[in-house]
Amino acid sequence: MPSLSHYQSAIFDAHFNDYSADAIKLIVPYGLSGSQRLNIYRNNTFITLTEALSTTYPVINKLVGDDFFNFMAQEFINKNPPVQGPLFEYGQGFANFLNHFKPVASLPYIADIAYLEWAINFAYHASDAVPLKVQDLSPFADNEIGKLRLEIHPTCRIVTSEFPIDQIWHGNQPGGKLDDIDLSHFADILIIRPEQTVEVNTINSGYVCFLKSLILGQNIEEAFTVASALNPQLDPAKSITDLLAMGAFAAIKIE
Amino acid sequence: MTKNASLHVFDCEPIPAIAGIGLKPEHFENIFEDKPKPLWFEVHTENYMSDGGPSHQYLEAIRKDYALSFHGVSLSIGSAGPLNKNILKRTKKLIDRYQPGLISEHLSWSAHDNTYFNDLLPLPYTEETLTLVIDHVDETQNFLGRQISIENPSTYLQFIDSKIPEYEFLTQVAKITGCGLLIDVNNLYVNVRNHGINATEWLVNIPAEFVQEIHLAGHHVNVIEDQEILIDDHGSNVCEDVWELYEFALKVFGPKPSLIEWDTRIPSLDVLRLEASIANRYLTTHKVKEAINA
Repeated sequence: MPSLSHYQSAIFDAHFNDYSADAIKLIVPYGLSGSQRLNIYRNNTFITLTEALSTTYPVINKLVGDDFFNFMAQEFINKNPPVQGPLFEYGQGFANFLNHFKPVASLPYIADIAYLEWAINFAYHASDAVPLKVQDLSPFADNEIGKLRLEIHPTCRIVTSEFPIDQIWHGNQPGGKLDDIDLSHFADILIIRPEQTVEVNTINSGYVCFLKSLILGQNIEEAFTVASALNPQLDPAKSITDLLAMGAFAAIKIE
Repeated sequence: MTKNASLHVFDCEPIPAIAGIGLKPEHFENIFEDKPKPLWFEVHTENYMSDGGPSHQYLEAIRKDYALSFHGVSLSIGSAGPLNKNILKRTKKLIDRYQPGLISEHLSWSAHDNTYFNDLLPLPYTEETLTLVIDHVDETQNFLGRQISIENPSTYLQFIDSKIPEYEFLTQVAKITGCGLLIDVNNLYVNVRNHGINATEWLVNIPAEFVQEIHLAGHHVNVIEDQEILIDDHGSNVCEDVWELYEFALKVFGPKPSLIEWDTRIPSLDVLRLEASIANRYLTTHKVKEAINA
């Protein structure tokens, strides 16, 4: 009698490697053939996973339509089956897959939209934290603020693109409009869920540099020096207050 | 230090022998407005495995008013390899926080070498599988510090090497590990139609003392080349035949918490409440008959 592990390898091959001869030998011939029976399971898996991808990537689905989305999903699932149980964690590699997927080569921005939608999915499920407020900095003197290190909000993600993916994304939300998209616009986006709703904020490219330096552990002054070297117009006080208003920070790191 | 919203502390709340409903995000607002009672809810454990976010805010609000049951779909008790410790840890974290009255999983497998099918696949009922399932149920109960119940699956194929009848397999697992059983009457019905097994023989061979919960759901009748095959899609009303089987199951097992599952083409909460009220009617009738016979 084949071992349980042989059984499970054979069914795995029938699902994901297009090889079902070994699995069919294990199945009782009763009415439907073994191959038809295995197909029922395979279909169930692909339907569940395609729905999970559509839930996480609704704008991609809307942009390409259901039929083409299902086709992309099939290809993706075959090459990248889930490695964890929870469905909301499935599909992290979709953007990378789309980057190399020839049938969407005519939509050069689509992979970046997928990066954005994954960041939104991340923010939705990440740990909750009460965002730091401007008042939280008031106990500090001006010369002390520069020395502070800030902890980025746990839901925070940055996505940048050479395409106006922020406009495309907003335009594809319920009630959104797509008439005045500026194709020369580069997108710098900060995704945060300060409370229960995920916010998709378009930000100044200087803020991206500033935030990335803070994430690397630099203090406000150091991070600002790096950011203003690339963006001389950047205003330190406004940068901090804007980012605080968006909820970008969770805490002041205690040295 | 990061400030977190403080969490409510719950005590474990047992689930009464009345009807419950599978909890769906589509119904959250409706539940908060109507506060339907008496009722309990079951959730798919994996859907609440996030670190934070709105799903927890909703579940905490629901838990304040209702007893909960946690129904896992990806622990993959029947996988030949080791259990996934990550899923176990995350399940424990949820159980410790929400203190559900019941915890359940399936007699099936859904992962192979770290690949997840996200479907409940059938097992060959052999001595090797029995030993493995017993070990995995033991490990799960020890890790969680709680009893779990194991559900009979719906299947679309049977294995040549399956020699142990399913009811016997389940009974052995329950006897040896002390786990409970979750009897899905719709799954049983699907298997009756798909494989020609005998429902009465199956039900009377399950010892009533192991049964912690009953599931009820709809299925879809598919036709492939003139052959009917029932697909357990949880997308319609409980059919008459399944209600009949439920009535018989109550005779065998006595009244048990009974869940209406509806996971695809989800209708309004009212439709689910109506299904729950039918289940409650069967439960009440059964209790009255028991009282008269006592």
